Parts: sequence; structure tokens; C-alpha cells
Amino acid sequence: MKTPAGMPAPGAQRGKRGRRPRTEIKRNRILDAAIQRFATQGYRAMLVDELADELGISKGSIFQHFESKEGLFLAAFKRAALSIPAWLDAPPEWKQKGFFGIVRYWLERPAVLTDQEWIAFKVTLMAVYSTDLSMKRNVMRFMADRDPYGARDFIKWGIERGEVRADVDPELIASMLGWMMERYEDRMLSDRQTPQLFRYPDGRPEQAGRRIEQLLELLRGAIGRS
Amino acid sequence: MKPRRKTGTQKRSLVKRAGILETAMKHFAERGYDGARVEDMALEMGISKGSIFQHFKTKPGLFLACYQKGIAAIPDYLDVPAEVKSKGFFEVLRFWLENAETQHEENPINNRVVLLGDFGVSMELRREITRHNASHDPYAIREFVRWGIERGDLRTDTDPEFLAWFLHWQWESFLAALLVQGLDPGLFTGSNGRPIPVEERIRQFVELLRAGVGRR
Repeated sequence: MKTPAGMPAPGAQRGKRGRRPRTEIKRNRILDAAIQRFATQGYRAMLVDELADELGISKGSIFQHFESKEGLFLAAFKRAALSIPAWLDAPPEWKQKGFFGIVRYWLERPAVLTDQEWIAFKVTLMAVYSTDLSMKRNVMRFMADRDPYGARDFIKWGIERGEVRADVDPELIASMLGWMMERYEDRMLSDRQTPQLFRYPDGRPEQAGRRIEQLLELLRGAIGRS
Repeated sequence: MKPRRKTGTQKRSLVKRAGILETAMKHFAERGYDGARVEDMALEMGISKGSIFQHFKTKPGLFLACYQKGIAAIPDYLDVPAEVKSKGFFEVLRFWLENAETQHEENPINNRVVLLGDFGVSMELRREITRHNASHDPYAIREFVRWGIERGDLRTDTDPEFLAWFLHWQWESFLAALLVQGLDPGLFTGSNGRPIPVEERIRQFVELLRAGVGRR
């Protein structure tokens, strides 16, 4: 299900539209450079001309693959999302701690990501928050169809273990979990780029450990089995 | 010190500023951030583009001012009819969700500009907006949470500030999905693939929020 970054997508030998491996390689090379540029420059400032220059190819050849800048961004987003580990990819020692142990693992993780690892996250956050609404629709459609982080499997696993409540539609639980994670990563990313931008209104700096503890407690209350 | 009375020039300048904001909000609401052009706004008002920039410096600055005006006009959490308020914290939440579309349609321009600011501008501008909201608390969620705690509707074993965040994050995302059709396709389609009536989703959502932040 998951495709680590830098590897061809499943079925790449002959892609959906019968893409040949060489085309696939070129496509992915364009996408990897685009992910980098979108993340560092933002959607609007990213110029396809400059991307083409960097890759030593023509602008037309990029549009041949992706049709438009929007199409390029959407494809870059999909590739970035598929490169991010799924919920259940947490290390075994955390998996042993169960559903909320895994959530904690992923909540703690943004703090230790390198700038390079943040790139993929940043593109997925841009897709959710920072493009126009019609793009966001495509993004959400992909999230619902492909479920790139394996949220459905994760919640099913939590229900089977008796940790997640079974009396509510798992789709709603998946949405709530996703929203919390998105907002949390969005905050973490802002903190990272503008240190200490976000403080309590009374000026106390936030403490990461306590923040995670409290969010987990509230989440457990909402979706955990009582 | 007694405030000085505004001179005629200052007054004219304020009127002009308000006029620019009104036109700009309409343009942003109708065309989105990228689609809206300062030139078109100037043209419509019969003024120069430079004169808009004199007031607002940059396009992001102009949008930020529009966003602030838009969000200020949206009711606070506690601005509900008395009979709803008397039923407590979670009925207030339910009231807003059930009336989201009506509320949206009553003032489409304000709501549209706010939705854009939350989901349709650059990450940099969004960060400005988040910072503005963190310090201005435009929906008065802190007061709402304090009220809920005083009524005994909310749990008190977690920091009210985190509780407010958690609530607001969930709330904003759910509302956006509700207002923009298809924004979260999974949300209104059940795991069996059948569509779920909006009222049913709202009921379940409020139920989960109650379980999360309500008094145990």
C-alpha cells in the first residue's frame, strides 16, 4: 500500500495508462523537484519555468506530463502524501502501547523531523490549507479514496483491540483524528519557521510534552472506548 | 486626554478606507484570492490602484484587513437565542452546526472571505491570520469555554486553553466540510458507502465532542 519516496509507484512497470518505466522515472524526477520547490517557495511563487530550468528540460515537457500547474501540484501532493508513513507504520515498541500509544508516537514525531522530512508534510499541509477550494476538493477526494495514511486500517485495529469506541461510524472517527493531526502539524510547522510565534495569550511558552498529553487525553475521551 | 475631533480630511480618509474594504471583500468573495485583482477593484471604484495601496500597502495586507472585518461580523459562539443558551454548552454547539448554512447565507460575503482565509491563501498569509485569531479570539471561544465550565458542562481536569483549541480545531474542520460540499467526501458517506443525513452526522459529532470535552 505504501510507497516510500523515491521509489516508483506500485504498478510502475506499466502504469495505469501504460506508462513505460522511463517515462515513469522522468515523471517522478519532475515531481520530486516540484515537491521541493512548492514546499520552499509556496504555491504561487513556484514557477514552472524555473523548475524546467533546474531539471534541464522544457516547460512544455512538464505540461505534457501534468497539463497545468494545478495538475502538477496535485500530482506532487499525491506523491508527498504516499511517502509519509501510515499510522500503523509506528515502531513495534510503540505499537505495543496500543492505539493511543501510536497516536502519541506520531504527535511527538514532528519535533524531531529534519527540514528535508518536513518537505513532504509541508506540501500536504499546503494542499489542505493553501490552495483554492476546487483544488482542495480534489485533494480530499484522493484522501477519501486512497486513504494514504491508512487511517481506516488504524481505526479498525483500535476497535478490534477494544481501545476505540465501536458505537460511532469509523469514518467520523477517521475525520476527527485527521483534523487533529493536520492542525497540530500546521502549528508545529509554524513554530518551526517562526520560533515562538505561538504562545499562550498570557505569554507562557507552550510546552510540547504537556501539549501532547492534553490533546491525547481529550482525544481519548472523544473516540476512546469508555 | 480628550480625544481630538477628527478633521474633515481624516473622516474622508476613513470613509474611503471603508469603501475600499467593501469592494475588496466582494471581489475576494467572488473570485478567490488569486482571481481578485486590485486593478479591477480600483477600476470599479473609479480610483487609482496606488490609492488602494496607500491604505493597505500590499494585496496580502488588503486581504488581511478584509478577513478581520469579515470574521468580526460573524456571531460569537454565545450569540444564540436565550432558549438555546439555557440548554447548555452542547446545545449551543449543535445550534450553530444546524444553522450553519442559514448563517452562511445571511452574510455570504463575510463568510466566504473567512473561508478563503482559512483554506485558500498562501501559508504565509495563513500564519498571519492564525496569529490574529490567537490574539483576538474572534468567536470568543475562551468566554464560551469559561461559561461551559461554570455551568458544569465541561471537564475541568484539562487546561481550558487546550480544551478550547481541541474544540475549535474540530469545529472549524467539521464546519468547513459541512459548508463546502464534497470537502470531506468520507464524512458524509458512511463506511458502507451510503450517504449519511447531515443531521445524523451533526448529532454524532456533537456526541463525540461531548465525550471528549464534557464533564465525566
